[in-house]
Amino acid sequence: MIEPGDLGYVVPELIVLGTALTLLLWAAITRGDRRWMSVSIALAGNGSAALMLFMRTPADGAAVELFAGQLVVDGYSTFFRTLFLLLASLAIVFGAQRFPSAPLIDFAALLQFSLLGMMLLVGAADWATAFIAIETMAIPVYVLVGLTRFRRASLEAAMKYFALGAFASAVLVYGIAWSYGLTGTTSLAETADGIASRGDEPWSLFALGLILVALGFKVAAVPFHAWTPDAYQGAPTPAAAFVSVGPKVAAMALLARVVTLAFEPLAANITVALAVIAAATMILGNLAAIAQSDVKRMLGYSSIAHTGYMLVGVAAVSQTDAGADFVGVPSVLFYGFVYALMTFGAFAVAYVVEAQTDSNDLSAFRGLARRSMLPAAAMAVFMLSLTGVPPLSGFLGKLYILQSAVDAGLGWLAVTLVVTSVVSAFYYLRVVVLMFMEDEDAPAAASAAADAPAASGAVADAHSAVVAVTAGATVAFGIVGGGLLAWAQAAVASSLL
Amino acid sequence: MPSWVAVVLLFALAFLFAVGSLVGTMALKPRRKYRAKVTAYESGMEPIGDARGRHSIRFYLVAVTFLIFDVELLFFYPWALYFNMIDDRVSLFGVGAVFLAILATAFVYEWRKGALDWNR
Repeated sequence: MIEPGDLGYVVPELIVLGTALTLLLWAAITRGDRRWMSVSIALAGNGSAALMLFMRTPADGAAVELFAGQLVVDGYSTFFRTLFLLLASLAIVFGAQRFPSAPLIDFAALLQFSLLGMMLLVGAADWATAFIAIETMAIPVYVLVGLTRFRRASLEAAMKYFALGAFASAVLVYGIAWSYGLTGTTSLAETADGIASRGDEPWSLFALGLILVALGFKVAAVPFHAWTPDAYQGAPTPAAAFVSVGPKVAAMALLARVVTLAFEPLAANITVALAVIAAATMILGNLAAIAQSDVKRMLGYSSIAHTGYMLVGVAAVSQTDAGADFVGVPSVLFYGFVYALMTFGAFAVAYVVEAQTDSNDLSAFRGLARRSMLPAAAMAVFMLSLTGVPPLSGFLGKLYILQSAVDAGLGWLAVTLVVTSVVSAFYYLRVVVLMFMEDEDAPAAASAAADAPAASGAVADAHSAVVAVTAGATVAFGIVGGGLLAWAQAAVASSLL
Repeated sequence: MPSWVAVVLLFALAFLFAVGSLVGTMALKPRRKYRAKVTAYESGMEPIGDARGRHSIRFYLVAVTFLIFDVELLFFYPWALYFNMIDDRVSLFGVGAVFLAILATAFVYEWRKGALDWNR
């Protein structure tokens, strides 16, 4: 039975839904330039949602089950919901730079709907909620990728992403059906009891396998990654920035909750499956990124590689007398947070270059430091952090994941992570070298500068703020990352896991 | 006898019945074709043109409009059924009103964007 008090815990979600609907109505009713209004509505909504999120978090930090066990409010979901509210706010400011008035308001509304799905997904305690939330998150994102609908590449990317995403959803439903058939429940916590009572039988593994395949598509793990580079390259850059961090981290959060909660009795099998997938993802993602000449494609393969790093954390399970202990999950939360900020920032700088030269080719970065110092410096921070160079946050993230992999006895996986990170230095540092140590091709730059769309001052300042916030956070969490890690650990400790 | 044998038998019978009726009619049926018999049945209308013609994209918008009202109907049936069984009717009415407002937003959006404007 639904208690009326349950609604009080989902006020942040209700505010996000309200802003999405307001934006849609605003788009339908008004005419003229609505850029300021779209950005203001979305930012005000996300700001007040974040405020309510912290006011409504249970004082003792304990998990609260809502709506007859459909949804749970715990530290785990609050950690991710904070990140998603931040990312969506950054994305809307980024979008204001890229889109004129009419698409921008649709962009904002779709972003809010996807944000709502992500916020519900990380709190899902039941397969029914999880599935509806994952679709609420994914369907607006397909539209975001195809938002520049007069560009063939954008449409093609949206079509590919949609077709594979729909396929993955079908596989997920099939897996959920198997899980329900085996255990007689859709609740994640009760599924664990059902699975435990059936032991290690092949049908349980089949259900787990289907669900891993489906979530593998959503987080872009090898061999289910093929849509990623095409979708990022074709999507308008703000959409690519959001897609590469938001839905991916949300699906990773669900994956961690599913393997640690619903399929916890199969922890030994999960470790093997995820470790193999993680190794393949790190190797293929990093090797394929070397060959890319388009910066958005390169970031696409780079995001695949980082999926691999996060999967190492999920796979890190140490067997204790009390049962399986998922020691790596806090490091996955930490990595998801810092990965999201640095990758988002890298896309934001890629857009600065795109606006200057109308190109996403790596050669457009040549001599960027001379043209515009601040974006170049920020990009250097993102690239070094993605490589994992101390003292930046990417280094700490990798360190925590390595620690948990070693604690769980996955030494070979830790070695794979280090070796592939060294390989990744080649393509990340190449961007830094191009920006700082080479001169631009003079004629091309001159003509491009004349054609560059003149962004109005305030919007350009806002975009610089996006770059500055992500770069600042990337540096700050590298120096004082302990606080974020403590928050991640507390979040996992107070969760339903 | 294991309990699943009955299910396997059912599958086998269903398969045999399907294949048997197809093969049986092929072997036994008289072959007398005339125009009215071989044309496609379209609810009594005279068939026009090729069945693989292209449809206007506007039908898609009609389908979306249909979906809005269909979902509305689907969810209001249980809501209406429960209305008399629950004491706190004010909040139940509130829930229904919120749901209706969300659907109305979708409808207003579609309408103002010109989706109902057929001759555009």
